[in-house]
Formats: sequence, structure tokens, C-alpha cells
Amino acid sequence: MRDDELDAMLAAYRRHTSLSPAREDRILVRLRHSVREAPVEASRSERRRADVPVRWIALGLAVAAALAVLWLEPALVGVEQRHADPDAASRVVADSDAREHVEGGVRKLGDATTSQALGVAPIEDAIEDAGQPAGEDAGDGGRDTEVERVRASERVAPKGVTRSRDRGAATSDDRPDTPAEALAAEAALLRRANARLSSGDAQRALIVLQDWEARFPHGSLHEEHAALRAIALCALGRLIQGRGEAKAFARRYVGSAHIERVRSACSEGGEKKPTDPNRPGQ
Amino acid sequence: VRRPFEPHRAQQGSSSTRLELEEVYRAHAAFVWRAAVVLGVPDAARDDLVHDVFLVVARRLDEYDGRAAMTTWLFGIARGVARNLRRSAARHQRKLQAVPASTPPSSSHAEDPAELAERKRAVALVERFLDQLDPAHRAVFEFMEIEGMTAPEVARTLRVNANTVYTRLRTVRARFRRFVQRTHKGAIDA
Repeated sequence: MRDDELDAMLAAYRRHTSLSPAREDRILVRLRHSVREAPVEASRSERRRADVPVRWIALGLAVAAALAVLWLEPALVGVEQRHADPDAASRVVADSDAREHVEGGVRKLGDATTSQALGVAPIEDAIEDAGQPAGEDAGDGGRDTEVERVRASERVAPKGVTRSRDRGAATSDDRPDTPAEALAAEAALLRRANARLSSGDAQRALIVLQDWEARFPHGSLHEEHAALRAIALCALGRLIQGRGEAKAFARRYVGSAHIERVRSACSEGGEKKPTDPNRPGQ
Repeated sequence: VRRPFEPHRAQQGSSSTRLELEEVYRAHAAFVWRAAVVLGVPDAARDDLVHDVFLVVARRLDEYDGRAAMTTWLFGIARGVARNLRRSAARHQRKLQAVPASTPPSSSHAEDPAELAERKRAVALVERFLDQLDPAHRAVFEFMEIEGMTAPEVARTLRVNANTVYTRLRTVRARFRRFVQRTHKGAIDA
């Protein structure tokens, strides 16, 4: 087979499949018509270029508005509170003291060592520290009394002052006034749940924890709540669920001081029979 | 909203931008047509492909920054348009299945019957050979042997190494020679 024969074949194919000038012109006419009849939007890159300054300005405005709200919110709340309650000024001072004390307690939760966390005491102590209002000294036997005091203080709190973190779940009646009070209420509930667990009543501990969930869906003591919940479930004998939550806890709170306690409560050796005689194990 | 033939960057005369697109069309219509062949678009749909590709070019000409070869850019667009055409053709084909086929129109050109038969035979042979090739080899062969592009141009268009292009071309040429020989031998034996 000679090369020129192959070339001739390819040339025939080329002629057959090439774009003829007439066809080229016909397509161009059609193209012009299409473009004339259907104006197209500005190209994507053009739109993108045009959008860039607008986007940056919008972003800047949004950030500025958010900062302004953050900056003004405490002042607005304070003004509103003072208008609602003539004793507000003195309470503001007390609140700030309480907040400092409570925040110190919360910090303690994180600072608890692993060896301390092996027992019930660290969670309990930390929660107690977190919930202890300034100037009050609640004894061991006075826990429930203190919870009631916290609740009573919530009930007498002025209405109309809201806290955005718990806005979703709390009603206007049981909504704490300040972050410090909310934290104290959270801590009181968790302390109660822990006390129930210590006394072997895991079922009631779980009910208290559910109450906490309902009232503080975005609470500050979520880590402690998750730990207590996993422990309570395992103590109840709901091992599959309890171990699942224990695993989730370990994943979410890596390095938590409560991990060892949760682990030991939910391990094979730590398996317990249901503590509530009315509720069989699952 | 603007018309793509209208000026959009500076206050250019409308004719300059219009010429820009038409220049691109005149320079590359044949290439896009060949791309349609390479991409397996049937003859009846090639007009549509070229039209649609340049419609896209009309919209996006300002995005072309010259970093890649124009043919590379056009081939990418053609590939997308061919895909869309194939999809709509498949839908259209399903609709036409119930309709009886019409007889093809006879050629109006007065051509020597022997020459015509020979040409048809050669075209059918080459088409049969090209249909056997994978798309990568077929593209190299069509762009270089049929369209007359150089290896670096094909390499840029297909975004492959120039040496790869040479290797593929050698392979396909050898296969083409063997294919034609086999076909001739078969015809003689028959």
C-alpha cells in the first residue's frame, strides 16, 4: 500500500467531512440572528466583578451591625432592667459578684484532674462551685433548698428581660435574668441530678437531666450534662444507649476531666443493674 | 444585559467587537467543525454544534484571557455542547422512533459516477477505521492528518504532552495502513 493512496483516501475523507464555505456562511448568518434575537446576560465574570464591591460592602455592614448589637446589648438590658425595677442598681452589683464567682466555679470544672474525676466528687464540687451564689454557704444537706432558692429567684425576676441563648426553650416565666443566674440554675439542676445518681436513683437523675435539656438547650454546662446523662443511662442498664452517648462524649470532649468517670461507669466491668425497681433494664 | 456583539468593555465602536467575534468565527469555524467530527457528532447536528459553540463564545469572549490556546478553549466548549446535543438527540430519537423513516434526498450535484463511487468508498473506509479508534487517538489523527494541525497545536488543544501526540499519531498511522491493506486483501480475495 503506497503512501499516496492513503493520502488520497484521507483527502477524500477531508473533503467529505470539511466545513464548506457555504455552510460556514449559513451558520454565521444563523448565529448573528440568534445573538440579535436573544440578548444574553452579562457574562459570569462580568457579574462577578460587579458583585465583588457590593458583597464586601454588605459583609462589612453585617459585621458592623453585629458588633453594634453586641456592644449595645448589655447597656440596653441594663437600662431596661433599671426601668423595670427600682432595686436594679443594687442587683446589678450583686449579679456581677455572683457572675465572677460562678465563672470561677465553671473554670474549676475544666481544671479538675483526671484522678479527681474518677469519683463522683469532682463533678459535684465543680457544679456546686459553679452554682454557688456569692455570699451564700450551702451545706451538703441544703442542696434542694438551694435549688428552690434559685428557682424562687428566677420566679421573682423582672419580666421582659430575655436572654437570647435560652430563648428557644425557656418560657418567659422561668427565664433567668442574667447569665450568672442562668448558670446558677443550670448548676443547681445538674447538682441535683448528680445527687440522685450518688444515691443510686438514676431514673430520677435522668428526669432532672431532661429538665435541664428542656430549659437550657444551649446551656453552658453541656459537658457536665452529657457526662451525667451517659453515666445515668449506663447505671440504669440502658447500656447500648449509654455507651453510645459515652462514646459521643469522649469524641466531643477530648481531654475532659469526666471521661474516666464516664468510661468506668459504662465499661463492661462497670455494668450495673437497673437501680430503679420499677424500670427493668433494657 | 447586553448583546454580545455590542461593546462592553470600553466605549468601543460596535463594529470592532462584532469583528472580534466574527474574526474568531472565521478563523476557527473549521476547527470547531472538525471537533464536532472528532467528538462523534453526526453530520446533521454539526451545524447546530458550531452554532451553539459560537453562541457560547459570544457570551464568554470577554472571559478568554489568552492564557490557553484559543483552540483549547473552543474544544472545551465544543465538548460540553456536544454532550448536551447528544442528550437532546437521544430524547429526540426516542420521540421519532414511532415515525417511519423518510427516503434520503438525492444529491443534486452532477458528478462523475465512478469518481463519486470511489470517493464514497474511501470515505466509508476511513470512517470505519476512525470508528474503531478510541477518542484520544482519533482526535490526534483527525486534527493532524485531516485538519493539518501541528503536534504542538494538538498537544495544547487536547492538553497532552507533544511527545504523546507524536506517539499516538505513529500508532494510528501504522494501524491505518494495516487496516487498509487488510481491507484491500479481503476485497481481492472475495
